[in-house]
Amino acid sequence: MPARLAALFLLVLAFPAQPARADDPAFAQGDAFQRSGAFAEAVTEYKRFLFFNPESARAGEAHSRIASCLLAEGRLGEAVGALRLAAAAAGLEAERVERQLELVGALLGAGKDAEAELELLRLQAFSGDQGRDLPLHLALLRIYQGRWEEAEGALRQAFPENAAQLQRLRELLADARKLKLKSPQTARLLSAVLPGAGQAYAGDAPDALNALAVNGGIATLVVASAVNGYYPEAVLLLFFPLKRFYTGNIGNAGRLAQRRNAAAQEQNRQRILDALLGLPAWPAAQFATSE
Amino acid sequence: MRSPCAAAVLLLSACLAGAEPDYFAPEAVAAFAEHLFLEGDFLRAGYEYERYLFAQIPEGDSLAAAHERAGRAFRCGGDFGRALGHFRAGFEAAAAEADRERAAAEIGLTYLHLDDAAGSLRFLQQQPGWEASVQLRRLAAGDLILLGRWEEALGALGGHPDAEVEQLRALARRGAAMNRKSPALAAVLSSVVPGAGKMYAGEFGDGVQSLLLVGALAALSIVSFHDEGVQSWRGWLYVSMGGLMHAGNIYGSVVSARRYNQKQHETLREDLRALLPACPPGASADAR
Repeated sequence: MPARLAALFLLVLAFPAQPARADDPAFAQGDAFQRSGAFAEAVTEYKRFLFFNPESARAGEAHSRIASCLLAEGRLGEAVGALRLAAAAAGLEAERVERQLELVGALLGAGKDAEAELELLRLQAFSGDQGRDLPLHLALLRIYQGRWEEAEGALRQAFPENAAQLQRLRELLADARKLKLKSPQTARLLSAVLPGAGQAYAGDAPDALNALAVNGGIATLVVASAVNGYYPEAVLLLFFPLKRFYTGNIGNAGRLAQRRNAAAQEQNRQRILDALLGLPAWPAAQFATSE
Repeated sequence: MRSPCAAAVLLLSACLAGAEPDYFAPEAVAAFAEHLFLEGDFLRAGYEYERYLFAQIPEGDSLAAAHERAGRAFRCGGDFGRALGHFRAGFEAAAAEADRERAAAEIGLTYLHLDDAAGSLRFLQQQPGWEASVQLRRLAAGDLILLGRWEEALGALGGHPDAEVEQLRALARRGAAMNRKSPALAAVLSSVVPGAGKMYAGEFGDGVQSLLLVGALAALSIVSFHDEGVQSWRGWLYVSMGGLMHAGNIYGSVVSARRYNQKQHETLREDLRALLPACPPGASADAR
């Protein structure tokens, strides 16, 4: 998960839209602890509030605060559980949608993008007034998944009145779509035919030369031993070092292609996110960034 | 468990009736702690029990029981050191014989989970009349199993017909019959036949690989010396490489035998911990 994208989602959760009332002593103490960064103690107080006030109208808010504290402590899995409870306890439709969007952010932060997608699609299907938040979250999800066309569609939906501002983003998304990915299988096949060729195909010339030199050197020794009649040495060299380096070279070529693809995708993602954050229409107050 | 539940029901009724609850009244803290414990939030429950201990303990409860509840919560949460402190305080505060015996058992169990079987055994055997208590004898047997004193473990368990005792007896018998590998024998075997020590220690594939590699290098050196005489640089190269690999293989056999024994011991320890868990399934912290 790209750190920046995760931060973007998680920061949504750290800034609840509605400030909590601080009249209940446990809730107030929880808020005070949270503000001072004592998140574990804050969770205890919110849980105390929930234990004694299970039917309270603020139960959803308390669960949401618990989730914020857990997120601040990096306990993403538990935060997801708390956010599910928060969404279930929400009284108003708008509050429920807000909590579910927080849940989507936490799921993405926890690397559970399939579950996040399911939540978003469910929200898209069943929530009435979707506003800008839902398509914006969907766009971020699609950017994370590398589904550029769908990301563009969601962005158009999120900013229908700012088509001109989206021009730069559209260009970047088009570049991302045009990116030719390296096939790991082709890389492995090439390296099997000629050691180092797969690495060269994946764009790593030093690794390619290294694989060619090592495997070529050992192969030369094998042939020289066999030509000079040192058959046992030839067999030994063939089955120990050559086999090891030759198979290693094939596997390495595939891994290199995968790494190159991931790096290129990540670079595109970062460029698109930078452009997105630079949009004049970007709701900075809601999607606060740490930068 | 009845008391905190009743307190919880009363407090919740008060809340639902619109009364302002006193969150920090001792009964409320105890009820909340019990709720956290049942929810599986053990460490947080432990800290709430500690808050309860700071307050005036209400009538009907005792300091020993409160420490015991805190200790159980911390032990379930994996903070064995803090749990031990509470169990010791509970042991000191316990007046009745049965309470002292229970606290002693909790201390023994916590030591066992702290990997201090010797400390646990020492403590249990210091208790007057420990041999008469099935609970303490079970724990002492567990310590003896961890210490590898199988016969003594069987002796401590005696002929009690309890199912849990029978499981411990089976574990002690398994420990006694455990096939241990001698690192010295593994080294000797690998010295004589490369890889044999590894095969003896259960790592057959590695053993075969060592045999082939050292054997091949030995064969190559013999062929080289035979063809080119004692001055053959190839022969000396293969002898040096083979010698290094052989030495490494002997050392590796010792490591393999030790690893085999360690693995056996770990399995036994895990099985014992499953029989004497730090946090029994469905446990309640309430000791009253």
